[in-house]
Amino acid sequence: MSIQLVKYVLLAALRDRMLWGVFAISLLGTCLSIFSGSAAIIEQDQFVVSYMAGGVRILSLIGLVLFVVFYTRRSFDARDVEFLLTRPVSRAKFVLSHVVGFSLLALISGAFLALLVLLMARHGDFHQGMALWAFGVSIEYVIVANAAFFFAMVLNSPVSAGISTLGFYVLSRMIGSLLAITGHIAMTEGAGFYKALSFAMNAVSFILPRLDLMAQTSWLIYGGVSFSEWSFVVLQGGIFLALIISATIIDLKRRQF
Amino acid sequence: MRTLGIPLVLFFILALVGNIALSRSKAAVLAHWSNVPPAPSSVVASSAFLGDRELAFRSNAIALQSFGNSTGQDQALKDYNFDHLGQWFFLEDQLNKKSDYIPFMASYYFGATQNPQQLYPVIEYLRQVGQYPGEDKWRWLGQAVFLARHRLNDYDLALSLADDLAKTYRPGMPAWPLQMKAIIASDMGDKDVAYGMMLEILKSGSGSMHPNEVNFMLDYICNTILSPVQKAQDALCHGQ
Repeated sequence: MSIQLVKYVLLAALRDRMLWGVFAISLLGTCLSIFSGSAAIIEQDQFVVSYMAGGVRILSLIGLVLFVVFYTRRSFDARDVEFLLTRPVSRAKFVLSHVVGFSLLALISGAFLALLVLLMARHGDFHQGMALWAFGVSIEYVIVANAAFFFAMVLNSPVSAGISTLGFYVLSRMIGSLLAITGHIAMTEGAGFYKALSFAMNAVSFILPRLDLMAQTSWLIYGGVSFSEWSFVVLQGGIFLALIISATIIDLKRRQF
Repeated sequence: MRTLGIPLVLFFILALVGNIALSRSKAAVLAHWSNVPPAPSSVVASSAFLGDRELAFRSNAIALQSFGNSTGQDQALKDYNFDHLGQWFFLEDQLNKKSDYIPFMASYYFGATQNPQQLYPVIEYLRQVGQYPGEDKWRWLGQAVFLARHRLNDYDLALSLADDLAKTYRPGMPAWPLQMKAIIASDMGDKDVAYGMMLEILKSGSGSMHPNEVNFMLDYICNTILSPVQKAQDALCHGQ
């Protein structure tokens, strides 16, 4: 890993005002959540926290994905990548330095969101569920930022890379529901075409991370998390990051400049 | 005009007139309330919120609260489709069994329908929620008894619910859930029974109840159950 490259990524984020954008959209989302939550007759705090955890989480993530995708494609278009690879830095080191840089940005975004949500969760004391949610959402951001890096390295257009990353995120968040539907279809008589679709969805689920289990909003309100949930978040983060980083390195090593 | 060319200007004017004509032809088509729709399954409901069941629960709860109040067209509760409403209650129950939000709305808001015959789905829902083991969940079964006995005047149903309520009794709870069957079977007047039940629910739960819930109950006791004369004489109703 090259510290200089990591600093370069962080500097680009500051120059593009990515962090300010994420902070601003998070604050705006918080205000909207307070406004919407106050319409509830009772349990207003729980409504505000749910809206923030569900809504602001996606807004910050979109900011992060847009930065990673456009930064990476711009680096290719301006031939920064070719220039950097002429320096004494290996292709694996190049990818790992970017992974660290993007992961730091993801952790900062996740920490800011978690801070806002925890400030709003006034109805109860700080409990383990809140800690796991904050940890889970940060790991989710790290996963998605590195998936965006992978797609931006593989696909030539920033638009298709951005859409692919968001598609990956939506599918990963919904995979639990989709598997429930495919399980139901598997037990239905007939429905041949839908069974083929179910088979395809099952195949996709082998690769996708279970982001629906990473940071559950109900943890913020009711707590009640167990060791297995902590270990799942850690394992999911570690294993999927290993997969996506190695895929990015393989792609860059095969690339001809 | 000359630089743009007459055909282009004519084409623009034609498009503008066409647009105005089309919008005016549909001016009478207004947003209207199509009553409470059937509820989706819990899988579909949570998928709409990217698998976030808590967010799905909270968003649907606000939607339930707002049914019939869209675009400034307030609908009377008696016009609601309560069978569909019952489906929504049970959908929400699948998404979150801990919150008291939907039982609260079912009891105090939808329970106030002008047509008590619609209350069966509400009572069925409260009967289920009232038997959950959570702290104070039995209060919702007490509300179900109240609705069946006082609003619906269905004694058999009220007695059956009172049986279920007695089964939820645990040490530390007030005694009235155990006595409910006897209270219903007694020959007290309707209003006396209703007053006694609501007062007991209020007394035993006021420590853990949300202030809005306490206000709803006080309002119900003072403005619905009691007559204006009784209200003026009841210390509970000062300021109501």
